[in-house]
Amino acid sequence: MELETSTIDAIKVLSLSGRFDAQEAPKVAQWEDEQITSDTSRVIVNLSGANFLDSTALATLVKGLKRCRTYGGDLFLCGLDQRVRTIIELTRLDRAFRIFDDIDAALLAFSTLD
Amino acid sequence: MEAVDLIQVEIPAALRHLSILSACLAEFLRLAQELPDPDATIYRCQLAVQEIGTNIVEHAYVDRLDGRIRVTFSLFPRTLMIEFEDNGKSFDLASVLPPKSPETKATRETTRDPQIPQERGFGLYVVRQLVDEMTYETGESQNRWRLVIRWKQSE
Repeated sequence: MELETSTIDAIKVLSLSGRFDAQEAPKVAQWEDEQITSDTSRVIVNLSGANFLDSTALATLVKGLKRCRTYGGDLFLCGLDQRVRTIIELTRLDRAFRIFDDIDAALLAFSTLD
Repeated sequence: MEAVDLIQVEIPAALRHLSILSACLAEFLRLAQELPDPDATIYRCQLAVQEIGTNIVEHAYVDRLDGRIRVTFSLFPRTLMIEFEDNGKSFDLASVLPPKSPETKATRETTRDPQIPQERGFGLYVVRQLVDEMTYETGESQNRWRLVIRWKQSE
């Protein structure tokens, strides 16, 4: 799995591509630990390049969500194809995460929070 | 009933090898006739296999590096059976509780934010949602998971 990070208007955007599973999840957990801070607690995880998501990956995203909200921010998801969305819907976590079509829609949602 | 087609794969019990099972399963299922919405069906089967494989690596072989997992994919008419065999520690399936949904009363009482769910414990819950049958048997030296997935005749 490849990780690519950018920062747009103080919002961290993490773009993941490939297979996001139990083998790869520690990379994202480490990124969350290092990048989500009291100064940077608004995060968008772009999954448009991810072709597989298992429960360990999902748990890592929930951990990031909690960390962001602890610091007063939020973690939005975007770019999920229907297959990747499967596990999020089965666990009903689509009610915990805010999910957007793409990065622009997620950025717009953050801008309306200010 | 005798399987129409059957393959057996044995991998080292390590997370990095589970993607091999995914790839084998995808190729195997493409041989199936009358598979409805093949991409979605294959993905759901791959997800179930990934979750059981992860469970075996993280629980059965939690303190071992030499573990092996043998997986048998058996294709019947409109039915796939997947069996996993390992000789690690047995697993107490009855101890696994369903995850708390973000909206449940229990979650509201244990977290500051009612929209923040628990982090772990989704794996077997997900498998139960994905398959028609899930069984687990443990013997003296071997554990066996069996998943059965059925599909209707495509129109």
